[in-house]
Amino acid sequence: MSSDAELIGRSLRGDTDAFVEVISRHETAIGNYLARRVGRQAAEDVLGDVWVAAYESRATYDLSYPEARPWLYGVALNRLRRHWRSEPAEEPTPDLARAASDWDPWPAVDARVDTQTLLRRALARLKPEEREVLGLVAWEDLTVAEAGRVLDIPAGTARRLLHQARKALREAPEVVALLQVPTT
Amino acid sequence: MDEMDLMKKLSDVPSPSPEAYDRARTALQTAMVEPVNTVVRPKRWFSWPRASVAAVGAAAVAAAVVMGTTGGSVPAGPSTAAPPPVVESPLVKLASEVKAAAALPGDSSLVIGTKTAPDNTPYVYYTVYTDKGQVFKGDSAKTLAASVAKNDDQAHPYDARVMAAARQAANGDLEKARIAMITASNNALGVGLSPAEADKAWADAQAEVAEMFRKLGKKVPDPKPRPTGEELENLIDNHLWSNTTYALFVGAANAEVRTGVLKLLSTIKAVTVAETDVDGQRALTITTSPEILGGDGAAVLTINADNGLPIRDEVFPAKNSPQPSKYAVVKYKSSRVTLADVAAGKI
Repeated sequence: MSSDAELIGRSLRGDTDAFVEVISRHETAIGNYLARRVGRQAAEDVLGDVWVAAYESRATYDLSYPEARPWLYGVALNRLRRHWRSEPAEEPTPDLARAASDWDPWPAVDARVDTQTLLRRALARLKPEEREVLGLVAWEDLTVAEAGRVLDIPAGTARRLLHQARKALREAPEVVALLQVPTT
Repeated sequence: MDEMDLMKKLSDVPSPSPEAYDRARTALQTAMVEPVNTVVRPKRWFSWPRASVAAVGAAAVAAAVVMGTTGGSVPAGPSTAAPPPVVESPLVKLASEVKAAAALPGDSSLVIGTKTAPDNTPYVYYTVYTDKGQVFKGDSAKTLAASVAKNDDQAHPYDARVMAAARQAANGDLEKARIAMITASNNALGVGLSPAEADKAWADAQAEVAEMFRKLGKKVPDPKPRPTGEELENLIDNHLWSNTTYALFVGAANAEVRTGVLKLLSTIKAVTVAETDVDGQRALTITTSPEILGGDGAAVLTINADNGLPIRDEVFPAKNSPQPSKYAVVKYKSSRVTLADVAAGKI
């Protein structure tokens, strides 16, 4: 079976089917990644843009990497950033500042606590680059080096960011509480 | 269990539908056949699901936005006459003050927007608009500096058109500027054209949309008549509000652009202006009717009453809508900077 890099090389020579084959291999992973980041509806809106952006930028692909998935995550992340930048205020984006000001650690002791909400609050306080590395490693099963490739940063930097993210999460009151009680 | 196990609990989400994957592939195959030139227009009230058409690029959005949102009838000759700005309008008065104020140092406008991304994480984005018309963007001072260093000018023709319209409003013929701003992304509505030209503009836009459907292998919808009357006026106001506020959020700290924006906003009948207070600072709220945003929500733009700089842009759900928008807010901070300082990360 041809590697992704070989298929991308063929697509650069005019074989468009080869690029579709690359997309077919990774579309579920990238679709789920987008859905985790922006929800299913927005993911469906953005997915086509990701493939078009990947196709248009395939000449920049480093053919020394046989596996294209980290690169596609990078393309998807860039499209998401552009999407967030261009989306007007009237998109359904809740006011995080308001939610954060309502934060009260005590409900976390309740066993009925909503894990997702609490964990997302803790994640929201991480630095963006820490959150990106953490998400790529925890949710997308990438290695730290691959996460670095997605974000175009050295593997050592990605490792440091992951370490910082995990430490900050462990020390977050929401996570401390979640790790102490049964969760839903 | 540790923090990574907790993280994995968040990994299960509903995946995109099989149809969405098909649409995305179709978009790719369309782009492979005929690369689409990007045309940027803020998607103010447009959503793909409502239009039931796959995204094939922003050029398609520009064409489809009319079809997807109007369903209206044909204006015999679009009314282009701007309601004359009310002399006492606080926006006109403020525009005069902004124009008369001493020029601030710097060669660029920096606007920092803060919103909440759909995954509930805070998202800060930086936009620099230089006095020469370049646009640089970043997610942080660092990535912004990198964009400037690479001379990655992201200004599209659309940016140039809305900024030119704002400058014209500041310095020249307000009515001409108004038409230029309304038509900055397209003129399918035929604003400012003769009835015959307007008919042709609408027919051309319909043909463009039909062609897009054909390329996607989908059934071409029946042609729709041009909107008229109140529907047309709401669409015109929508374009004007959308394009004008876009100009403000890109180049707020450019006094000329800001002056023009304030004058153009003062010509929209369907907005109301009121005084308010934000953290002890005098401010003005500029509120749209829901009708000019598609009926599901009303926008409230809050600006500093002394200098016109944007403070925040909010959307509130419309009470009578079956699908009201959710509350949303973007907060803004704007300042004059030099491009050299931006490139050096000194912001």
